[in-house]
Parts: sequence; C-alpha cells; structure tokens
Amino acid sequence: MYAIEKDFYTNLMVSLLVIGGILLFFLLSIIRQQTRYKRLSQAKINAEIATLEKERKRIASDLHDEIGPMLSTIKLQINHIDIENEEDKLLIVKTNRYIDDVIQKMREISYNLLPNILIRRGLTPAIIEFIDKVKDSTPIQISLKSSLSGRLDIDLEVNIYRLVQEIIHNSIKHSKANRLVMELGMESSIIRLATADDGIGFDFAHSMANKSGLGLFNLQSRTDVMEGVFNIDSQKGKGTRFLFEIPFKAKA
Amino acid sequence: MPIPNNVLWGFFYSLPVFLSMIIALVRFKKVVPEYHPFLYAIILSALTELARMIEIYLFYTYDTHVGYYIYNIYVLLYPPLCLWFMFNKGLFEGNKKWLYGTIIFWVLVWLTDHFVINGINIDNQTKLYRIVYSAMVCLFTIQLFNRLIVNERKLLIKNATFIICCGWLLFFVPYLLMQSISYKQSLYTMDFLKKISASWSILLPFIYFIYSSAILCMPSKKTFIQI
Repeated sequence: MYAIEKDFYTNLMVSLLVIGGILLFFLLSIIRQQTRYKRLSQAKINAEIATLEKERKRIASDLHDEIGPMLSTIKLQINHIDIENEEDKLLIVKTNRYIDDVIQKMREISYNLLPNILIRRGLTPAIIEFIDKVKDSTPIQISLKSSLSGRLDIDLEVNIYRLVQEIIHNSIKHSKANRLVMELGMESSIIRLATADDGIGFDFAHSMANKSGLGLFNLQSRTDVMEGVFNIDSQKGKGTRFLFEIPFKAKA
Repeated sequence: MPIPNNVLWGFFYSLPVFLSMIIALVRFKKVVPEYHPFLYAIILSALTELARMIEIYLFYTYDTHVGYYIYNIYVLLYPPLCLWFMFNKGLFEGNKKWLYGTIIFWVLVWLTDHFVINGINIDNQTKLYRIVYSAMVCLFTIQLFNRLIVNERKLLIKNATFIICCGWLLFFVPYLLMQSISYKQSLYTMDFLKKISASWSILLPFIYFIYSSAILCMPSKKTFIQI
C-alpha cells in the first residue's frame, strides 16, 4: 500500500467512526423519544377514555336514580287526579303513555351509556343481553361462545364490552353479512376476543392510511388502553375477522 | 496450497449467517407471511456463503476455477427480496407498479453491467449495479424507517422491521462507500482494496446478529376464527 493510500485509509476509517457514532446517537435518541411519546400518548388516551366512561356512568346513574323516579312520581300523581270530564280523562291516558315512552327512552339511553347488568353480573351476561336487544333490528345472525368464568377488573370488562359494541355496530352498518360469530375466552393470562363475519370485507390498510373509519381507530385505542394486541384480517369479498389479545387481571 | 489468513477471516466473519438461517428456518412457518421475503433473503445469503466457501476450498485444494458468478447471481436476487419485504411493510403505499418497475430497472442495470459494460461476462466483480442497487436500498430503507417512526404504536426497539432497517443501513451504507471508492480499481493497489473490503467484513457478524434478533422479534401468525 502506498503512503498516500495509508493516510486515505486512516482518514476514511476515522470519518466512518465519527459518522457511525453520530448515527448511533441519532438512533438511540429516536428510540428514547419514541418510547417517551408512546408513554405520554398512552397516558393521554387512558385519561380520555377513563373520563368518558366516568361521565357515562354518572349520567346513566343520574338518569336511572333521579330522573326515573321523578317521572314515576309524576305518573303516579297524574293518575290520582279526579277527573269527570271524558276529554280530560283521555288527556290523562295520553299523558301516561308519553311518560311511559319517556321512561322507556330514558332506560334505553341509560343502558346504552352503561348497562347495569355489566356492573351487576359481568361481561358475558351483558354481551348476551346486548345481542338480544340488537338482533331484532338486523338480519345478521349474531352468536357468542364464551368460556369466560368469574369476574374481571371492571374497567377491563367495560372496555371489552365497548369493543363488542363497536364490532357489532360496524357489522350492522357496513358488512352486509348474514352471520357474525364471536368467541370470548381465556388462555394462560390472556383474554382472547375473536370475531368473524361472512360479509363483504374491506381493505384494512387503505382504510387506516386514509384515516377513514373512526370505528377502527376506536378499536385500536381501546385495545391500547388495555395494553392488548389488535389483529385484523379482512379482504374484499372474504368477510372480516378480528382478534384481540388482552392481558388479564382478575377482579380483586 | 494453504488458505490465506484473510480468506479464513472472511469465512469466520460470515459464519453468523448460518445461525440467522437456522433461526429463519425454525420460525418460518410461525411468522406472519409478510415477513417471508426477508427470511428468503437470509436463507439465500447463507446458501451463497456456503457455495462460495466450497468453491474457495476447492480452489485452494484442487486448483479449480473461482469466479464471481455466485455473488453476481446473488446480488441479482437479494435486492428484489428486500424490496418485496419493504413493499409488504408499506413502501410504495401498496402500488405494485413501483415494485415491478424498480425490479425491472435493477435487472436492466445488471444486464448492462454484465453484458454491455464488461463484455458478455458474469464472472467478474462489477461495480455499477452494486452501487445503483445499494444506493436505492439505502434510500428505501430510510423511507421505511421514517414511516415506522411516525406510525408505530408499540416500542420501536421490539419492532422487527425497525431492527431489519437498522441492519440494512449498517450493511449497505459502508458497502456503498466501499463499492464507490473501488469503482476505478486501477487507481489503487490490491493491498488497499483488500484492506477496504476486510474493514467492511468486520461488520458482518454484528449485522447477522441484528438480523437474528429481528427474526426472533417477528410477530407470530394469529389464529382467527372462521365461519
């Protein structure tokens, strides 16, 4: 090797080491910032969802515990009014009907906000009741197979319930499916929620890239809150399959 | 004749590729199919190194011919596998025209390098195709890297694609530099060129260790329910 080549080689190696060091620092910095950003994003989503659920619970509770009894009292008092006029009697009957409608609507709103059965009896009975409520309004045959025994942490149950709600609503709105099958179970310390429909399917990557489909983002956010993993398999004409794997914490 | 030290060291630095290949074969059926092109690339690299080692052993033992045709065919097949993997991970936004167009362009450059610039010969080490493809792979890797930084919701350090991108940058940037410096080989002495090549070879064990880590971090196939 000539002397000039030796110098060139030495300079080249030193330059490469310096550039390599800078690139390594750049890489480590990116990883550190991304970890920090992920932690902050996670905390933000957790706080948002926790606030949302807390508000829903409060409103559902207020509707059920305060407005409901007031309406029942109003109905009772109206029925105690002595009326001899036939027209007024008819008006009382109509008013009773309106009050019954308002009570019914209020119960539906309260149920949609946070079903009481979810708090009292747990996830599986709540999902079964939800399926019973929606099946009359859709031609889709919805079925659930659950091997979940015992109760889970209430926040976990609420979030999984919301996932199921979102999936069922999406199937009804978009899938044009005949059947929707859901399986809920536990494997080791992982809760597994798997769904499949025989609908028209969609291009998942395209939807996420175009940010069309708030439902998918909701599913992703809920899963992130539970530190779970969200998988989707869907192609046009071949139906849609979801798989959620969520770390399990038993109810204390 | 005895095998020279620099050739033995070259073998030694390449050995970790076989570990990567073993891990790739073990995990092949378990990983999500979009990672398969990278596994094919690892297996191709290992088989190429094995073929080259056998060829060099036969040369030093039985004085058989040693050419560059194994590596020349390897560099024709390896970049499309890398590109296919990057396409699966979102490069070109799913537009297959860019994928096929790039591969066709590489094939044309390879043919030009071996059949026009250097005469009809695939036995020599050529430079133009190597510079073109390694520069393009570097740029595509950076693009994929940036995409990951923006979109990834989980920890980057455990993301197999991120780890692969780091490995590729570590491999192709010095490789590109080495090929560019030695483009006009007549300007330098053989000792200098061998030293440059040997310096790059030292990186190989680290690169294959990175690839092995990436394969271990690849997500497993999920079992969805069927109707």
